[in-house]
Amino acid sequence: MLANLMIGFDAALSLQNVLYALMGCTLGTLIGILPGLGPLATISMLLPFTYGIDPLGALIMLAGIYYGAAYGGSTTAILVNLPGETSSVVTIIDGYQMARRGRAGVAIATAAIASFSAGCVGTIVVAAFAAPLATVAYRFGAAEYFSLMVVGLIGAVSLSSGSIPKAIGMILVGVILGCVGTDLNSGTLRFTFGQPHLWEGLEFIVLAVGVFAFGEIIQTLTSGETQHQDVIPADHLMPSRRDFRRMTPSIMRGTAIGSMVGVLPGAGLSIASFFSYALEKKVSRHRAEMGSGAIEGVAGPEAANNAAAQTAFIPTLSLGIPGSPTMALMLGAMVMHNIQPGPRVMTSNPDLFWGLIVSMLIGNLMLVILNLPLVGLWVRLLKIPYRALFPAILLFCCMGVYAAQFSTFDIMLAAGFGLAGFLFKKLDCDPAPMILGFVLGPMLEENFRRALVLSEGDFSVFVREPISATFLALAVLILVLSALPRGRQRRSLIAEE
Amino acid sequence: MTLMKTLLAAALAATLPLGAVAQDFPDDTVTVVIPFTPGGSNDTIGRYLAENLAKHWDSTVVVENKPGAGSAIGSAYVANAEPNGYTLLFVSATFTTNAATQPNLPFDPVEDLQPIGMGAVGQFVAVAGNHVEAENLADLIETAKSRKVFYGTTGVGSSTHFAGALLADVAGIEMEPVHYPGGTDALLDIAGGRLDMYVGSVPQVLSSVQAGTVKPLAVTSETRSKALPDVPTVVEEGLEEAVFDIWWGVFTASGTPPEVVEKINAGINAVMTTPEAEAFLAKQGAMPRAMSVEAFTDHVHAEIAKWRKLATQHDIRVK
Amino acid sequence: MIIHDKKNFVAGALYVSFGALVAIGSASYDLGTAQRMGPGYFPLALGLLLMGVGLLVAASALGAAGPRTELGHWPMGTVAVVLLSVVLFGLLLRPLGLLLAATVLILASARAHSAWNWRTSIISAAILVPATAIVFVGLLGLRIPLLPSAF
Repeated sequence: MLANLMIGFDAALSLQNVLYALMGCTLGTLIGILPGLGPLATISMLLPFTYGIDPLGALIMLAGIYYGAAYGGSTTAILVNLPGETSSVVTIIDGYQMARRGRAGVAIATAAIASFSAGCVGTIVVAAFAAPLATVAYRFGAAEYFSLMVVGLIGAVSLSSGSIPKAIGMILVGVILGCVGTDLNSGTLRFTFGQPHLWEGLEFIVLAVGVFAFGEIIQTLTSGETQHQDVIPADHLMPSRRDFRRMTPSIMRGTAIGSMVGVLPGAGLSIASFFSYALEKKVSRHRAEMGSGAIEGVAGPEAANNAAAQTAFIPTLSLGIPGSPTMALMLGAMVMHNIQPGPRVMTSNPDLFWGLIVSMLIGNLMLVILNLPLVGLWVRLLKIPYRALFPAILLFCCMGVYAAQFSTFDIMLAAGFGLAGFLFKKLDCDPAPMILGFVLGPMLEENFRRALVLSEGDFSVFVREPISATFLALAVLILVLSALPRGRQRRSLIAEE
Repeated sequence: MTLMKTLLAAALAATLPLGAVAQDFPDDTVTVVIPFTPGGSNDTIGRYLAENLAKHWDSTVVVENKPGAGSAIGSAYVANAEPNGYTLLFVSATFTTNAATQPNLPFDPVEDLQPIGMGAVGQFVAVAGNHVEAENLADLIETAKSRKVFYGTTGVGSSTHFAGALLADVAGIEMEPVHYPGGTDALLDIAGGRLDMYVGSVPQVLSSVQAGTVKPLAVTSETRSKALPDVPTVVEEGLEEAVFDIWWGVFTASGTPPEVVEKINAGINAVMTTPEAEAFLAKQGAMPRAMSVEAFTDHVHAEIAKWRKLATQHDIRVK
Repeated sequence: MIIHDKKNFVAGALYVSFGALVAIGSASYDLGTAQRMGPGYFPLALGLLLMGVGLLVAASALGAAGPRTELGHWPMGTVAVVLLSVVLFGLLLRPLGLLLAATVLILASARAHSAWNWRTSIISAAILVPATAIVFVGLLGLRIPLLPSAF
């Protein structure tokens, strides 16, 4: 492997390629910070411009956008309580609380450090285990995915600090919202109310902006905290030694979870950070603080998210099967540059394969170098008086919503969800489990129904398949554990603190 | 009223002639609407066409993605645009399958849009899993007579659904569709032995074929695929009627002056048949195919009629 | 009857009504059977489940053992100013273009703050509107109209 990595360093470390990495990372960070615009749109708009440059340079730049977007997204989540993508929803829970306690700098730096360390480990996992791990993707069929989603949804209860039935209710609301749009199995339009923009479902960003960002703005404006909010005292920009000690085990656990689930096409990226948060809440020594600004709640999920972003390359590179639309685009870019992904990519284009692996490392390093100095700037933004800051956040959110689908209907829909978000705040209903329900719901239904089509209506398929049965057993275990009196006591203790 | 016009107005400050004459066309920004999200073959080929039309005409051609509702939102937008040739739709054969399955489209696919020309065609190939006891189409037909065969689709009424249904129909066998959000999900289930077969575009299945996780049965085209030269065609296998090619073409609002339509057709045919374009399309698993306005119009309308019939037979519809 | 936990009671009531709406809405779609589910099956089940959970949440709010909560004050004026500014932005973006719609959004929403004054709002609009136009339209090249379409 060492010799292989040397080939990679040789290929990737030209001045030109480092410049491409820098360009990609900068652009990626920018679009990550802006809500609504994802890496998908940016990569596809840039793709034609990369035809002229050499394949490795092009891929390095595109990969930089991909990672940069993930980095930038957590900054927005921490600063303005706005998740730009699914995985940042988890970062919000503790990250935004840290920011409100004047620890925005520490939170952003933690996110960067966690992402960097996890990204490096993830890259090594890709380099060492790409071939054997690829087969894991084959073993997951509809039944397995269904059971995995069940575990994810049951685990979502832990995202909330309120009562268990209330959190379950929010999950159900989210799954119901996920039903909006064309039913994959019959083509029926469900709950679209004659709006063509709803045919393909609710946009994630519409829901996120409404429930989180708008809800938070209204809450801050009306809670009488506005005077205090005007200046958030910032203690340190960088994590202290104590912070480092606390984040390290969480980063390690998050990296392990992320590396594992990242390999699963489709599901991996969206659930890695949720799983990590749920785990931290169960095992972390400081679990009592989770939800009110614990550094573990930022470090673990950010690590998981980035490790998964790396290992998501495994099915793409070694099987030619992309796990997400962005990966599909990367695959397209490879094909455009005459690289045929598949098991032979390592032997037929060793400099390219290993060059890409090494450039992932370079990209991760570059992102830390790029982002840490920016922390000071971001924190200074929070010192702008709130009366001038919140209209800016509103405008920024509206632009993000519009940019996603160029639909003004979406902007008004986001305002409607803003009202819902305000209601949730007033009633102490946590919106994070709802978002997880919204994201996993469609996959839950789809895989459930597909499993039954393929088994010709035999329900035993879910317990007959060993992987699926294991997940279902795990789900039951989690439910029993959290319903036990002791578990309940601990939960209410957490809520009180 | 529309996005495009606003921008034009901003740039050119209301000095535009109203009816563009053919020889002057285009003396203004042309917008190519792509009714899908960025990424994917439709977007890639559409952007290539726009870029080269701009060079060909020495004019500004911009791409606008208007995704949603299959391809209905972008198509409806163009159908309602000013009929002057400055707003073009670049869409795949999904246009005709949508027309057959969606009765409540916000526009009439035959009446409201004027077909202009075909940019390119691509080939589909039928693949089966290694667990399926079939090395060719004849084997598959035998298998389907003894047990239920499941084929993957990329959604109700998608081109992969029609390609699979057409194959079953022509071969006289029963196959059960299983719907996936994307072709790669279906390929993964084939590799895992849970799904039997899939009819999809050559570039999409190519890496799986090369990785040996699926085996190609037949190309659903009249000629063999350059990327898969050893795989026979459905015509060679005796199923001429099962030919299913995917195409990408350009439309504009009905009522556009015929001279303008002809001029755009000539532009498309010129820029998509160069050796450079051929090389570009080959990487997308596609080939250039020049067609006159009449030929393309007939092709589109015949296809809509054909899919409507098949959709009724197989009860493929979007409610 | 005294409702001790008012927040949970209202939350439960909302769950029940939303669940009921969804269940009624799903019933109009094809339900199918357990083996071959129609498009209505899954949302109907979700709606009924949510009603059940809602009843549970509301019922537990009635017991004297639980915590006591009050609904607090509901400053609907602020809510209306913020959200209607957003709606206004959505309505004006196409006809008036980004520059004017964004100015309206900033000037209108700023009134929601207790320490609102014209000077700050105008200064923020003067900085933010061009900055937004430069980032989204100039830098990222999104096709968003800047000026009213009448010109």
